[in-house]
Amino acid sequence: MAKLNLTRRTVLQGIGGVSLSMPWLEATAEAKKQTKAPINTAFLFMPNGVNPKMWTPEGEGKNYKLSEILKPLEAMKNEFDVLTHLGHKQAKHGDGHYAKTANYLSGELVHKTSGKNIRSGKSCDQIIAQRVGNNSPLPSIELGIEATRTGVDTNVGFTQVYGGHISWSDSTTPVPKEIYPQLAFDRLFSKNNLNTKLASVLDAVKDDVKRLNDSLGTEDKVRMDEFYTSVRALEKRIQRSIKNVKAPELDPQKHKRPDGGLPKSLQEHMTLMLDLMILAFQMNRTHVATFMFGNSVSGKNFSFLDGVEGGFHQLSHHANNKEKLKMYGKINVFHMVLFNNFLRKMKSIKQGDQTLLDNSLVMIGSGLRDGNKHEPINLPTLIAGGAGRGITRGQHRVFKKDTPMCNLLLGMMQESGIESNKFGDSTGVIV
Amino acid sequence: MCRYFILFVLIISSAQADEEFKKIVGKYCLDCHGGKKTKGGVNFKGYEGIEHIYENHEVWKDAIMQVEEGEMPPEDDPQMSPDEKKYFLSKLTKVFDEAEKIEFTDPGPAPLRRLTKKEYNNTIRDIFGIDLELGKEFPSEGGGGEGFDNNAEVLTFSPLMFEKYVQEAVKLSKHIEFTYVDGFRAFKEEVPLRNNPQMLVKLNREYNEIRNSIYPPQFQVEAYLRDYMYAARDLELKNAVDDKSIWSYAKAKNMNPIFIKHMIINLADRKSKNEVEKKYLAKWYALTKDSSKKEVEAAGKQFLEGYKKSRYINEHTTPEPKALYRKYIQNVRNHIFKVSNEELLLCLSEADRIRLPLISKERGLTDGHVERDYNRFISKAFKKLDAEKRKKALKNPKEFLNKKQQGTLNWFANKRVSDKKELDKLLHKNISELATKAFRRPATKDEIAKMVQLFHKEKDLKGIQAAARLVTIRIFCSPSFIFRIEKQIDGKESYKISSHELAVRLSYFLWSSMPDKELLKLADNGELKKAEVLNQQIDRMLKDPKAIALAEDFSSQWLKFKEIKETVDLDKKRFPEFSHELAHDMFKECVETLNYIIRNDKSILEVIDNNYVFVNEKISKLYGLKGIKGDHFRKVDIKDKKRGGVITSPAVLAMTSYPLRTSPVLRGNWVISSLLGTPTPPPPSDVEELPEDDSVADGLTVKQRFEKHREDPNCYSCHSRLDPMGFPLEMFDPLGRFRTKSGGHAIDATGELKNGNIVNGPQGLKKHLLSKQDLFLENLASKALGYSLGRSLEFFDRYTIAKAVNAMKKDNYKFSALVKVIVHSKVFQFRRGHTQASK
Repeated sequence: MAKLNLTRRTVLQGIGGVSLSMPWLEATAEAKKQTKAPINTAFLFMPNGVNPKMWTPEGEGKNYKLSEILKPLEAMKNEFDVLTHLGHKQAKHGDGHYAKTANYLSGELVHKTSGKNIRSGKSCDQIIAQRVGNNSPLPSIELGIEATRTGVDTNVGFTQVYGGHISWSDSTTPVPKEIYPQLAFDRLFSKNNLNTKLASVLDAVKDDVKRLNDSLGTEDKVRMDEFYTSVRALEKRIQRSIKNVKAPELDPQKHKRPDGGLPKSLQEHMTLMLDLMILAFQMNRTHVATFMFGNSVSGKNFSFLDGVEGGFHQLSHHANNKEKLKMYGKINVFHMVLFNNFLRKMKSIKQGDQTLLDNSLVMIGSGLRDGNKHEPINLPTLIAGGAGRGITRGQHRVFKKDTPMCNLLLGMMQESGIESNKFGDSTGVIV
Repeated sequence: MCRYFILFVLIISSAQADEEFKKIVGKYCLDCHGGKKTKGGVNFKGYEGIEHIYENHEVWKDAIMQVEEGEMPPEDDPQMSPDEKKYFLSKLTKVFDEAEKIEFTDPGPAPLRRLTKKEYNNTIRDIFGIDLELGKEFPSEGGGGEGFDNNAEVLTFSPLMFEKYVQEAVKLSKHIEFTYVDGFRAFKEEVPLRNNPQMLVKLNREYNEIRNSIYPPQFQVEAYLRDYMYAARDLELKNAVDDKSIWSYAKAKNMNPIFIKHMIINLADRKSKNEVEKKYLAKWYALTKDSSKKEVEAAGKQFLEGYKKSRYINEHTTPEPKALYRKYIQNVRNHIFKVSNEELLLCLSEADRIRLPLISKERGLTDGHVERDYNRFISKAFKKLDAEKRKKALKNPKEFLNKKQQGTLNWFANKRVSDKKELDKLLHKNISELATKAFRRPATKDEIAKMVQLFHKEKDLKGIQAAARLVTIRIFCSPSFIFRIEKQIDGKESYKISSHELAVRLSYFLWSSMPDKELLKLADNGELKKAEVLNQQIDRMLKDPKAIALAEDFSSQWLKFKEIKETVDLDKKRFPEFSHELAHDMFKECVETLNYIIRNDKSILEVIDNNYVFVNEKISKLYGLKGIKGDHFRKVDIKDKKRGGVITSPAVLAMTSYPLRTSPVLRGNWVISSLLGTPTPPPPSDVEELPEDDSVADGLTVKQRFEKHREDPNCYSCHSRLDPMGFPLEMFDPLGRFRTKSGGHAIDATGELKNGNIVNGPQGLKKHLLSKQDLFLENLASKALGYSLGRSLEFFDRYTIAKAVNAMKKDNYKFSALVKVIVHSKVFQFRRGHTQASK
């Protein structure tokens, strides 16, 4: 199995030749000129927290020193801020990971249940998508690499639904993520399923719903409503694609459709999904995206990394064991290498005088700080981009203890054009 | 109101006593479980009376055990006086006992369920009789309730989900061929929109049809293949394999010459034989001219056995001889008879005409091919005549045509259907049939009319096949297909669901799929309402091959062995034998075992212990069994008492290990959670863990390390339950192989129970678990009930669970006894009234 060698050179080159297999990213770097680039928002979620001793940098403000985990981001240091002491108050209720995953982008309480009355909060990416998503063919895209697990974690009494979803279109409806690169690509760029004849099918299906609703009970109507909304969403997409909302065509030579199935290597899989996100932003397919580096409690085996032996979740329960802490940190570093590539690629794509990164706000973090303790305070959080809106980066910003994470989420919402001055338990605005 | 009414009456008389109970709870429980602190996720805050127990029954049930065993209140905290303890327990136990005796009027919620990805594919498979493996790329269900993917409460819907339904419906539609006579039929390969007039495409399809039909009338296919194999051999032996000889042979025997020829080609082509062919055709290939009739028959029998085995007996364990058939098809492509259509028509038997779409009656109604063939025939036969004379000639063909041509003309005269009214009638019928199957209820007139309209509109633009595709998409995107809809009746009272709805609930419970013809017929004529008929159906359905769903879907989630395929990631450097394929075989082993127990109605206790295993070559090595060859699974009787049962299966032993070592805790946790249904809370966050790798010796054995760990009272309360269930399994490594040493130390496979008894090795563990069979059966009954209802269990479900446990005990622990209690229960057969439901 390929080992990841974290030298500066490989970091700059991209991982394991993946950039070679995806030449379209480089090729499209010379941009088509766009007059007014919309703001993109991306939310990247890492499961299982980070090694707390290796995360928080020394020093504050501009002259801070990158911590061990953040080192891979050195070249991009001026493009992001490290945010310290943000947390989700509501996430303190409930054992384990689940109560700190489903609400990562809402800060609401996750209702403890094995299934009955699942409830979290409407997530901020979905709020943005619903309010301003009409400017693109897809209001938002949700990506990941692991299928949601099925079942109930009987030790803590939560349904696995909570561990597999950070996007919620309302407080009771999780938005499933796409984990197949090819299907995500098709969803973004294929026109096959969006032909006009489908419109007649959708009309008929809507009629079905109307007719059925008469014979349904109140609770069942709620579920049928979800269905109806989903049909409507596809209908709107078709209408938008017919009207051809500023979405440039892909060049099939440069933009190769990924292979079917799941990529064998984790790093290739993650890189592919993140590349797709960039391409979607760049080609105006959507302006809101989420990505999960894994479901909560992800036990993915990271033994392919030098010096790591074991699964992510087991290692995150390091019990202060030195060896384990080291391995845990290496997994965190791995995520940062991918994040660095992501930023670098976004920065390399010109949009007029600016770059795709300048016209985007990207946050990355986890719903836990230390995987060994599961506490949702002082969450590891980075925010990048925004230069196009006059935001300067490059700082370690230390906030007052227990500053709501929702302040940051609210900030991102406002920058996306949502006029709101309160979100969750927010007490202010961070951008 | 009436939800808890009956119990209320029972308890209300002791309202005062309830105050006493509340006092005890307040005094001993609320400090740690009272809202501010909710240790272990347990919260008794808001306890105002009996309703709290109903709504949080799981927690309270657990409280009985905790207090009974002296685990709660914790040692260092104030303890209940003996009287208080007695009162607390008797009070709580009474509430639970009562619930087991009284059937509530409330059947509980029956939320709207969409088909799971598995049910989606199974249903389409059973509608068309062909498995297209659809829905694989749907997002996986999160699952909930009793832990199953079919839990309605979390089967939410989202735009992505709907897009996938559309995509799959589009995919399905491309496999559909529509004919007015036969309606919508699906084929394994995509059907080209413009039908290829060449017969080989049709022949391909014919072969595919044989290959793929899931439950074809066995006899017919057998006879069919046998006849043609014998014919081929017959001709081969006579050395009469030229076209002419085949032709006259087929004519004489009223057979299809094309199939005979392809059979000959296939059998003659002895190069590059693959494994499957070698196996099933070995005797056939060995035949010579001098072979006796007996030998020929034996060879044919061997082939048919192989064929039968792969198709009917065990689809899941024997590789389908796909390669064999692929070769057939290849041969069809390469060698086609050089004969005209007319000649072909004349030579075929009526049976073949029906089989071969090319010349079958419905063909004329598909897309004008017969019409075109007819025109071609006419213009060829009458090529010397102009249009005027042709008309005349047709009225009196005898003057112009020879006998053969006359026969062809007659055939056309019989097969051409051009009456529009008749076509319309057929279209209505076919659409209605498909929609009725897909909606699992009769399609309404209005629905059919609209679909016919849609069909015509598209047909005028793009032709019949395109129209059929669009209607297919429309039907399979309908909420009536996607959701299992039950009619909601107004009123406060719960009511019995219709026979059709019962048939649907039953078939999705046992088959993860739609009802079959027999079940629907009994629903139609109301017979299904009779208890004895329902029982007969349950017995029949459990024996049906489709009941493998109970092993694949229900059992794999109940016993969690599904995880072996999905999340287990043993270290491949340490365990080079471990692979994706091996994990799948481990999964299959468990499926085979459960399938055997359930479909043969054996004692369900065989899950814990039995004297057989299901193995193929790879799995047999893990068991240390010798002489097992090949990939297919077979039942092997064993004498080794350590083995047998799911507990000691490699799947379970591997999925309860870490990448580099076994974990007695994970194994113990699996035993007490999945088998006994008594899970512990998660470990506190500040625990020191064991090293990743048990081969790193620090002077202590794994067991010694654990014992040290257990000295800590914080750890003791859970580990005293976990560890003794895990240590006896230490005799098996992470791959499930037997071992006597680990990390240089001899294995100590004993666990000490709290009462001081010793559980020694896997035999001891199995014995101990059999002594706890009540817990095991209760857990199984809860799981099965939750699975069948697709919802979280309610307090009043205890009645059905208790009844099911008793029924199993009285009837040799048969799974069918459990199923019958569930299916006959009120919660399974009733729905809440509208106003009751909205409460």
